[in-house]
Order: sequence, then C-alpha cells, then structure tokens
Amino acid sequence: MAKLLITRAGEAPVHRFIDSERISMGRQPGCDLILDGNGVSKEHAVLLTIGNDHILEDQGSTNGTLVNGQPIRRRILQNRDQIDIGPYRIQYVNQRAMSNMDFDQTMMFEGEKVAGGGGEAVVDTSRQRRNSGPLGGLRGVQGPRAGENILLDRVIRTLSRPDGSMAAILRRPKGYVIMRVSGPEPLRVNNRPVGEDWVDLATDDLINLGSDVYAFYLRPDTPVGAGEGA
Amino acid sequence: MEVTVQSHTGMLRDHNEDNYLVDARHGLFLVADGMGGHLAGEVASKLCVETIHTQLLAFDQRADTRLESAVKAVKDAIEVANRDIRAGARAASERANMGTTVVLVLVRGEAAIVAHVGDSRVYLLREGHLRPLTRDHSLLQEQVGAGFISHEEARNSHNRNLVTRALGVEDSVEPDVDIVDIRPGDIFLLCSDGLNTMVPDTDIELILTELETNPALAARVLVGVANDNGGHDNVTVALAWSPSQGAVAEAPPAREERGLFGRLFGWLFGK
Repeated sequence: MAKLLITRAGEAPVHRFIDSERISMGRQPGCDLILDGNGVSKEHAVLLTIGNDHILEDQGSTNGTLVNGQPIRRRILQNRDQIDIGPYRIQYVNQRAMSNMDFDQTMMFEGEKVAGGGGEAVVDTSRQRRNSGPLGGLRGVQGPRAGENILLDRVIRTLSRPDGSMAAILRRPKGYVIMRVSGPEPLRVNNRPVGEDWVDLATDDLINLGSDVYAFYLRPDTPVGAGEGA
Repeated sequence: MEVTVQSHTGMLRDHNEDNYLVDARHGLFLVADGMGGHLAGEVASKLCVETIHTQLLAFDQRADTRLESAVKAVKDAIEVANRDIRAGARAASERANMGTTVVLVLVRGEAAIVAHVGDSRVYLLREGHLRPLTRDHSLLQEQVGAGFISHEEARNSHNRNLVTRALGVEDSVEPDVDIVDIRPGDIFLLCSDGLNTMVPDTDIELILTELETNPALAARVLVGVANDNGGHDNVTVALAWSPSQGAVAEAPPAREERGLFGRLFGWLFGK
C-alpha cells in the first residue's frame, strides 16, 4: 500500500498509509491528517484515491502546496514525490509505482464508475518513453539524393524509387535496422541481399536500392542505448 | 478485405493472454485481451473469439443482408460470448474471475461494423491519417471524459490498465457498436492495449503510412516497436485492408481460417 512519510524539522518522521479514498490535510481538528504549524491552512489539501492513482489537490490554501518545489493545484502523484505544506515535508512512496509493471496488466476496475463523459477525444495512453538510441543518418552517394544528408531521427524512414521499390530503416534502442518493403528492385547492404527480415546497420555500410546508393553513419557523440529505461 | 496478424507475449510476461481470429472470407476480424491470471485469461479470450465467430457464421447462413440485422447479430454474439465465459468461470474455481476485452470488425459490403468492450482498440488509417474508431471503456478515459483530469495529466496516470467494461464480469454486457463506410485504400488496425500503451499514436500513424504497401511487414514492425519501447504487455496487431489499385501488389494472400463449409465451398467452386 502506498504511504506518506511526514517529517517536520526536529521531529521523528511519521508514516501514514493511504487507506481511504479521501484524506484531508490541514490545521483544523476535523482533518484526517492534522498538520499544525505556521503557513498551514485550516483545510490545506486533500489526497484522493482513484483507481491506482493518488491525486493531491490544494484546497485554495493561503500559502500553497508544493510538489517537488513547484506549486500545484492538482497533481497525480508519482513515486517519491516531495510535498511541501508549511513546515512539513511529505514524501509519497508507492512501491507498486516503482516497477510500473503492475499497472500494465489489464484488470477490471471494481470501484465506483465516473459519471458523464462521451464525445470526448480518445486518450493517447502511451508512455512518455520513446526508443531513443544513438542517432544516425544516411549520406546520398549515387542517385537523385546524392550529396544529401538524411538524418534518421524518427522511428521509421523509407527510401523509395519512382518504380515503387522501397526500403525502410527502423530506429531501435540499440541502433538501426533495414528491411525491404516492396517493389521490383532488390535491396542490398554491402552487396548482400536483404529481405523483409531486417538486418543491423553499422557505420559506413553501403545501401543499394536498385541503382541508388546511400552510406549509413552513426553519430559518434550519441551513446548506444541512451534514453532506454523509464 | 485482406488481413494480416501478429501476436507476441511481450518482453516481460511469460504467457500471452491475447487471442485473435481473422476470417477474411466472412470479413470478420477479432482481437481479445484476456484477464484473470493462472491461464484463465487465455481461456476467456479464446472462448470469446471462438464463440463470436461461431455465432456470426450462423448469422451469415441466414443470408440476411440488412445492416441492422448484422448489428444485432454482433451484439447478440457478444452477449452469448459473455454468457459462455460466465458459465466457464462457474465450472472451474481457478477461472472464477476470468474475463476479456473484445474488439471486432465485421465487413458487410461497403460498411464495417465496429464493436468493442474494454480497452482494445480499432483505428482507421485513411489517406495517411490515423484515427481511433473506439473509445476505451477504461477508468482513464472516463476520468478524462468527465473533465476530472486533462489529456496532459492522463500521461502521468497509473490507471491506463483499469477497464470499466469487460466480458465475463456481469450477467449482461453492453458493447459500443458503430458503422463506418469503407473506402479503397482504408486500413483497419485492431489491437490489444499492449500496442497503444507502448507506442504513441503518432508513431503508429507514421509506421502504417510508411509501410502501407506491405501491411504484413507493418504489423511486424508495430509489434517490434512495442517491444523495443519496453513490451510491458502482450501485444496483438491485426491489419485488415481494402485493396486499392496497385498498392498491395506485394502483399501476401490473406490468412483464412475455413470451417468445413468453407472448405467444401472452396472445393466445389475452386476458390
């Protein structure tokens, strides 16, 4: 279960498990978590639990609620967030959020359903982690793009010829791979034929799509595997 | 319509709870993402796609060409699948809480019936633009829909995996059903959430657009990129497309799963 680790200068830390759907925090005796001190409003903030999320909402406090040093009105807490309310520093600890893996397995939501909705745009649920390995590119050696530099900064880029011959280069966490997509002309890398089963590219590899020739390079200043992980 | 499918366990899980069924001859494409653990998820998703297939083949035999009849048949088939999963869960205690999402496309002439329960999705790629045709039955989508959190805040939510509707949960299930016209060159993408939670919609659009001359390769690349980005969940991608002149010359023939009737028909008429 997720918890709050509450500290105040000169005092021993206090643990509070997040065991109810709404935890009010403030100076007032009726609050679920009483924070008594200068700069704390009567009802300063509330912590709501919705599904796997814990959402901290400032209740219009006089001195504000900070998360990781930034004032917030509402924030979905992330593991190890630092909350400042008056003289209190509160750390949010959620072991399950550490791996993130628990939150990927499809499960039925058993709680109260949210009313309303409909007609709104579909949420893009993808994580903000992109595959961003080393950066590379192509130099046109022969054909209509001779002399051009083509930076491979997207997840995929295709090379094509007017006759419909096409190859694709895919950017992966540890480098680039190339594959043949369609069309009459063969794809060769260093003179070896390449089909739909993609093959790795290395610096100075020569790519032939029909009579068009490109040279592949990896930028040496970008470390292999950079950006992997959360 | 032609079709290609890829399904992968992902990088972190030890079994694949997704199931799919594609029947190009009858224009039926199904993806289901099972849940319940201890192999129950696979059982639920398999039961789901098989039951719906059987039900819709039976409907097909009735030669009723009205679109509204097909819509009703789709709803009824999902209801029967829900009942079968409930019955299966009652019969074996280790399957007591099994359930599944489902997403389906049924082609009837120039129209596609799109139905779903849960957070599996259908997208349509048309003229280089990708748009979702389904709205997840998920806590996250409901929270955004109710205005409680913004699209921006949704990126920080841990609720992306919590579905609010599924087959096997209640005595009755309500699918969302839509009808979309089909144009030449359209590509329908059916997927489990293992794709769209790992790959941003903009990258899905880019990959499909760049590889639209070879959908089978596009499906493989989409699964590959989901795994490259972490592969946290099972991922299934089915692409069904309506051929446009010249664009799919290289595509392999559609996979077809024929029943006895289909094989007999094929033998008699040389198909």
